Amino acid sequence: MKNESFSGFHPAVNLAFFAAVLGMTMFIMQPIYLSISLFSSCAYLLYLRGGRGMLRQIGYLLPILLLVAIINPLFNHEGMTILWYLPNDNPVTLEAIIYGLAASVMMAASIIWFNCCNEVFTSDKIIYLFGRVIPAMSLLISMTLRFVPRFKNFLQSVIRTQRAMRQPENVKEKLQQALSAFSATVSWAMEQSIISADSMKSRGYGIAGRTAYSIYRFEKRDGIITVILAILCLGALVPYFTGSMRWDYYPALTGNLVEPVQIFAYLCYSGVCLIPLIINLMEDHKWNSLRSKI
Amino acid sequence: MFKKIFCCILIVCLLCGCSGRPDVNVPDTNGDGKLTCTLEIRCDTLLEHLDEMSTGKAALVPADGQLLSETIVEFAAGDSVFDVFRRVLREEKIHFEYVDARVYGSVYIEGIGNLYEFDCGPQSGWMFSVNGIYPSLGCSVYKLADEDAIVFNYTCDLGDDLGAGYEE
Repeated sequence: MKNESFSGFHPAVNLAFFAAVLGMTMFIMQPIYLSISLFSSCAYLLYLRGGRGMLRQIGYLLPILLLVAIINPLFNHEGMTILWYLPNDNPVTLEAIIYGLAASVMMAASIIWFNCCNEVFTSDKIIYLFGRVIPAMSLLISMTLRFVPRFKNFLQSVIRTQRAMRQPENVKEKLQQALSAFSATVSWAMEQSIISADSMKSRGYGIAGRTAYSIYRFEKRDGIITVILAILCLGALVPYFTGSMRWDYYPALTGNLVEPVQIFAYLCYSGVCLIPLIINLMEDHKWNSLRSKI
Repeated sequence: MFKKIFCCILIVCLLCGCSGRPDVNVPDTNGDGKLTCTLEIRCDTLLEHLDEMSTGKAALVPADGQLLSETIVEFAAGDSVFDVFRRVLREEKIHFEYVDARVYGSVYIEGIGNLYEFDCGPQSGWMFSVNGIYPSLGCSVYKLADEDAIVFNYTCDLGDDLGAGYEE
């Protein structure tokens, strides 16, 4: 991962951003909002992971999304525009297909935002933010999140070691090796949990009056970004208050998409979604221009 | 050799026997040599509840409450209400959706013309009557007789507003 400036902001700002973006992506099923969210999440992930990481993500996301888009019209037959009939006489409607597409775009955008969130909102930030409020829960969350990649890495190292000792010749042997590697990893994980429990106990976890060291300070720039974020979010939600957010997929596609209020809201929403990318690009520019002068 | 041929013939006979329509004897009451029934689809009850309907649905209710005017249909002996219903609605290009409710051994009509169950409160949905009587049967189970008059009606109150409520 390259030098990412948005993750250098205060954890509360990171959290506020991802909460706002994920919330709006999941609850606003309006097509233009969805596409703005999808495009900016993709752009941010591209910045965070580079082209190859992005392609890998899309590679396993695309089939799932296509499946979602196809399944909806097969089981949902509401809609005014009948395209053709299924063999059992239920109609396939244009509205159901479009709704399926919209749902899959919504899913894609949320998953990609979560991926970005994983890169930026690391477990130390979770502990920092929630350590006081829900200590047990936040410790559990951060340990669980850390556990998954650790488990994967250990499993891979076991498999590599096995391969080095003996290359499997057929499918059966391959399967046997994989199974024994898995069982080794599981017992390793059990041991690790006991070790970490002992270690925590001996270091006095849970004793009252302990404080935690943290490297985060809420600076002026964090305040500025929070205010900008709040204003843009309000701007993006203006159509909701004026009543022009209405968009129905069923029974027919109804609603306005290009009222002046809405265009203003689209701009605000794009602003919300692109905040981290803009910060990063600005910082990169600053960095590059300073470097070239030396 | 003979055994094989015999087996083949037996199998063919069995297949024919299975796929053939079961012998149903539906009397042709008016003696014109054809079995006919009428089909009508109405949603008058919705006209009084337009403001309570789900969003965007009120515009779909026709002003006279009639989605399909009384149509005379020919049917084959053994046809159910649903056989006639699906044939006519596909011909007339009227939207409908049903589910095959295996548990009840019949199909259930969820919506006609984009007017769905629950579009007008939790007790709304489609019911059908034959000759003015609401049978306690699924529409793919009810077998038609000559001169039957089928009416599909929308109810907002589990059939009470159609005079088809369940007696205590």
